[in-house]
Amino acid sequence: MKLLKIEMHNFRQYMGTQTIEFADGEKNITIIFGENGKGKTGIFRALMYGLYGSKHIQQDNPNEPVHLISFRLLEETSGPPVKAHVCVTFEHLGHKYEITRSLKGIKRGSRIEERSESVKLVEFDENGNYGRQILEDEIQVRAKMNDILDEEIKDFFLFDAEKIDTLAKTTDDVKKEVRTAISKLLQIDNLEVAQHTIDRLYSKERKNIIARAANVDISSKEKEIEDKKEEINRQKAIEQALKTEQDECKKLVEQYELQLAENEDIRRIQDQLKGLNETLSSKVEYLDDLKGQLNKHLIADAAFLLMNANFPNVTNYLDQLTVEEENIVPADVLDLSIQQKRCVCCDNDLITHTKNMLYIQELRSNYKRSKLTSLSSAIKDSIIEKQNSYIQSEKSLLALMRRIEEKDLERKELLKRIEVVEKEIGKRADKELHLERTKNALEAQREKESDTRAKVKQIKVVIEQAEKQLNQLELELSEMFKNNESLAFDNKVLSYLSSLNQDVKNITEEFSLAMRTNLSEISTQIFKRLIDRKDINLINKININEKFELEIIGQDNVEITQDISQGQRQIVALAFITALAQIASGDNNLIKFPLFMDSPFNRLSGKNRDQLIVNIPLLTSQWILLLTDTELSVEEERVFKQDNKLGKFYRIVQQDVMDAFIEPVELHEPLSTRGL
Amino acid sequence: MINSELLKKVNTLEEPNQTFLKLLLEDIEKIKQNEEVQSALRSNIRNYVAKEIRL
Repeated sequence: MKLLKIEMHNFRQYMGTQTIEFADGEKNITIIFGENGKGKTGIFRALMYGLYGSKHIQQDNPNEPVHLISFRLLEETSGPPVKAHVCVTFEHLGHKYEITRSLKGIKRGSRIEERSESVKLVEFDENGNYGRQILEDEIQVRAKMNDILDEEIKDFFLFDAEKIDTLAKTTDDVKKEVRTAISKLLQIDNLEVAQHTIDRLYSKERKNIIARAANVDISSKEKEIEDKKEEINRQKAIEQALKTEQDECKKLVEQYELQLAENEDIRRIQDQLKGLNETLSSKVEYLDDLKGQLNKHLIADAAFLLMNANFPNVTNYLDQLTVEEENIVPADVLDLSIQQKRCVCCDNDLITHTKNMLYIQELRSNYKRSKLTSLSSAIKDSIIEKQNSYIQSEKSLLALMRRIEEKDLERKELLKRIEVVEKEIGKRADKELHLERTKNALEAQREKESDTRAKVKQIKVVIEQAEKQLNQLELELSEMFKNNESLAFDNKVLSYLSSLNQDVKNITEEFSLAMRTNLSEISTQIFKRLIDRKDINLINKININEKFELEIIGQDNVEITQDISQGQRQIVALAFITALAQIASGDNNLIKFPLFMDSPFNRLSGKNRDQLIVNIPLLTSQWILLLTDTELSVEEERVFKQDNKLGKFYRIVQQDVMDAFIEPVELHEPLSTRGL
Repeated sequence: MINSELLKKVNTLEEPNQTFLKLLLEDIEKIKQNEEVQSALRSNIRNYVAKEIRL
């Protein structure tokens, strides 16, 4: 298939008619450039809808409705329904085709109703004249399109690159997709149909011969054969049921083993939690000890440390007090004077001078000099002592406080870690409860699986024996045919059918093996061309196993399908697709497969992008890219332009919300908008 | 159109199986209806055997 043109009318963001012509030939790259949300994927949707009538693309939830008609027009047009269409023109095996799908929609309140109106597939004749064949029936159109590029394999060539790496994953769905693609593109499915056709014709012809022969011996032999076949079928049905049971056992064993492995995790986490709690309690103990030391320190020194600024004033005050007290009459003089009733200093008779006696007695009662002196001395001594040790004391107090702060932070960190671990345990706690039950169930399933395996082995022997007996009966019947001259013609037909059947079986086997080998080799070669030079030895081989599943084999011959990055997986998928297209095309230049990729570079490094830009145009007939601004910087633009492979460039211009148009851009103009 | 690699394999078969299989694969590609394909194969083989017997 070669894509020539797409025309969209009132489709998604595009009001009116927009046309894109796709490049091919020597300059086979078409770029449609638009920033995110401007309508690139709308073009991808248009292509999928136009070719296959698919409203949903890979990235959509198939259960959610997708609307294709211009929202803007539906909003603005409150009256008649809005009509839209997509028309794709393409070439296949040298013939030109045009497929047009129309749809109609209306908005009722907040609900949009859309329905497909018509489909028309037109084949042009050799001279390019319209209408060699016109199909307007959906079933016929679908059948024709599936002949051209089967819907089941379209996602290999027309895809959202964000999803394409899933091709190199190992889920059952993906394995099936890969198998289908190889089988369809390389016509292995046709060989299988051929085999089936021959088988059915053989048994039909044989039945006819037996009926025509009207021979008791032949009929009786045929009866024996039929009985034997029935017996084999019964045994095979039992074998199949046993195999299903065995698979279920295996699944359960895997499931239980996984649960137990998860419980191992819980045990590890619990050990971790225990360790953390122990560290926490020793940390809390140490912290308490430090706080005790701090308390003692504070009780001893805090008051002095706080008062330190006031100590000079206090000292001065006490000194002043001492000086003032030097003029006061000593207490013993006062006591002696009172005792002798005569002043010891001036010999004044205090009995006569009662006023003086009263004065001396008053002086004595107020006298506190000796107490003040000792108190102030004690205070001063203490101040001096504390001042001498002030710096040391302050230092050790601060150090202690810092240590406490540090240890408290460590305690808080530990608490946080404990909280995280506890949450983790909480999530899995239910499973932990059933640990013992799971262990028992695992043992039971292992035993059951082993029993079933033994039964399958036994039944295989029974089937083998029955098949040998069947072959013998068939030989005997065949001899009977040979000996019956009236069956000579039909017998010859049967023998050709039988020999053809064997040939087709052999060819299917040989061809499948050859194709798998070829596909593995070419995919590996292409991967090595596409990948960044530094990763060239990452993969030893891209293998296609006998079930047609994709396996990525590393340097040490270990499967690394799940271990490589998403970007690398994307390149593996691209290598596989281009190899598949190459083998499917073979020597026939008319068999072509376009590569239509939405946002292909998002997950790729700069060097991988460069490798793709240089090599993909040489590996495919057409490369159509929907690129966003981050995928097309000046560097990518330079690489795109250097090999002169860029044929067409379109820019999506947004005029308003849900209103965009597509404009062609001359290739000599700057294309990128970033990194200028 | 038979895949070129497959055609190479089919060409290694001896006659008449080579022709029978080519025709059968072409019919499978072209016709799609199982009954028609089967009937065409039957005719091809029967015609061949008829010629062979005449000779």
